Amino acid sequence: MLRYYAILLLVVSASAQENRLDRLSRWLRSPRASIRLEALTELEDLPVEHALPLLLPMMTDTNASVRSAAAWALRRSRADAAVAALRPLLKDDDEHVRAAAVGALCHNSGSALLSELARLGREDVSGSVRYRAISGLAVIGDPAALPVAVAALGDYSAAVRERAALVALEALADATVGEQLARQATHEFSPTRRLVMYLLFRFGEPEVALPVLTTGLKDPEPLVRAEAALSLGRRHARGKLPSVLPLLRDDDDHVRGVAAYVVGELGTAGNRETLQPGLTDESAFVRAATAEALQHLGDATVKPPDGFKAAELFTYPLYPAKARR
Amino acid sequence: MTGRRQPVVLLSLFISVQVCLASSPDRISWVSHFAQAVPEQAGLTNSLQQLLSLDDLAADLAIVTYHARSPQPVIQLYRAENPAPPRILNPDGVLSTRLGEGWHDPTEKFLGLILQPARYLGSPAVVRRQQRAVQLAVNGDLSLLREQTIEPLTVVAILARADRYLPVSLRAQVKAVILTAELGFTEWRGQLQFIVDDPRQLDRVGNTLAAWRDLAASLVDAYAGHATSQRLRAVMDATTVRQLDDRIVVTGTLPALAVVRVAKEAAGRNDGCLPGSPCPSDKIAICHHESPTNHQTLCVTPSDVSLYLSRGDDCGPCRSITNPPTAR
Repeated sequence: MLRYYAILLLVVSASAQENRLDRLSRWLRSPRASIRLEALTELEDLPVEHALPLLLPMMTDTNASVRSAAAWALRRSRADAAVAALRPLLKDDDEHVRAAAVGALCHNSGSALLSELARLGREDVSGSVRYRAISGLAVIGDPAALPVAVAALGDYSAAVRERAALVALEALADATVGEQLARQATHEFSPTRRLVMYLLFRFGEPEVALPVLTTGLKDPEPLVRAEAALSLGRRHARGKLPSVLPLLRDDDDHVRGVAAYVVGELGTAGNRETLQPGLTDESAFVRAATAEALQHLGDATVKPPDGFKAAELFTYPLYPAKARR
Repeated sequence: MTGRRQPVVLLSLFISVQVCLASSPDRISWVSHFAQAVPEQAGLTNSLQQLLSLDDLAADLAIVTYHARSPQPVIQLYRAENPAPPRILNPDGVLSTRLGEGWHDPTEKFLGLILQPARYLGSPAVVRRQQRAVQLAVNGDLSLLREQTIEPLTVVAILARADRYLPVSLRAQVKAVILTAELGFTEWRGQLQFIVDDPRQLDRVGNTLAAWRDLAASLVDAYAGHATSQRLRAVMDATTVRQLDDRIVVTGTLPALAVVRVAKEAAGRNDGCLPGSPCPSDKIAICHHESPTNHQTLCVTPSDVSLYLSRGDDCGPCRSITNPPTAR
């Protein structure tokens, strides 16, 4: 009796699935793009082997949103047919379709398309496509892509540079990452040099990172000097304190304030005298950071403004969302 | 004459002079709104008189920032470019879908306005500091902006011809929008004033604005992480909407750290270097500075953009193109 019910249940369930596929197939042929999109959303709930035959024809849909949704849905299938259907979309006129195809191929093509995806990460005119290609390197997970991730630190888009490239770096970093980063420390684009200074806090052996950071303290761009000082502070590089001290007299108020904070982190009570001029600095930030540093070094006579915490300011870069202090 | 009234009178005098000089009374509107927004600030009147030219009065958006204790104002002026800037929002994207048709067009116009290079006025050192802070803030890094808030920073933003940037439901009723905010290190307090043409429409505008809170909450859910959206939702619940004379006033307070998180999460979607017009669709327009007086629009590949920017060039076509775009 039980066997009879089990067979009946299987037959009913298969029939329901067939009806559902039949209905979705009709919806996908609807002249209204919103109906076709609705069908694609529902297909996400079905096993990919059932959805695949319905998804493949949608790669040539006239509506870009439909092509984009269908391309992204194919990420679940590793079938050769899915990869082959996605590849032409890498040349689609619409950037959102290209981005969806890149994202899907990073999930389902493994390392096979690495060079093509790397080229798009470098050359596609759309920031969304470059973002998907570079962050997708983390999904592919092939260590051979590390130089591509490092090169993406030179992208002009902050999202690609500070978020996608960092996601990829975290997934792919190996023993050579410090040296690869060090080579980018002289990049012509100052936002890239700043990012490298930040990354040398998180990556690279001290014998590679510390000399680069010390050189960064003399960079012509103030934001690079400040980031180099912060990374030395975060690495607790007490031996480099003498190189940071001249920044207390830097022309730039942001650099002076950051330097005061770092001296507070790395210094001792013996450095309190050096910090004193910062208490009368023209910049409120420098005065506040100096007061906090002096308090940190045991000076009970000074107090930063209520609620001020210098560490709260250092939230660069975009990724990770929370500062790692 | 009381000390409190003196700056208002001086500013009124300044405005009267500008009225005589300007061909259309509309052209002075942002300055007169500014005078009403911060009547208590002595010294600012003189500073403004020294900084502004007649042409500056026609700005679509003016943002004035200063510290109350040492008012060295910085003025940012934005003007709507003609022709319209390229498409910024993805019409099929989450933001457009949440905003709906009524909001898409005005939001696109407003983003197009504020993503253009602003004209900065003020003392050169203070302007340089402000420009750097704003540029980083656009890319999600608020650290330099927050450094300026250790002593509270006052921001007054005036959208003088607001009808272009509002949805149809408010376009005919609201003639200007004014934001006055005090940015402290831990808290950002702000007041948005919607100035209404016809007093009989005040109730309607007030109800519409109250309904916007729901829209804003939906956007917060779409764009901010869970922890941030919880805090922002609480902030929105505490926002007040009230009627005052000829305007509807929306008042609210944001924790500065919540703003930092939202800025990071929302940033980097668009860096102002947009592909296409006047370049081919696979190239990006760069304004290349051959010399201080000779600028030329170049069409370059994405991988070359950072090198041009590092040499002092700007994203986007040069504002007055004398030479046709050149491919590099």
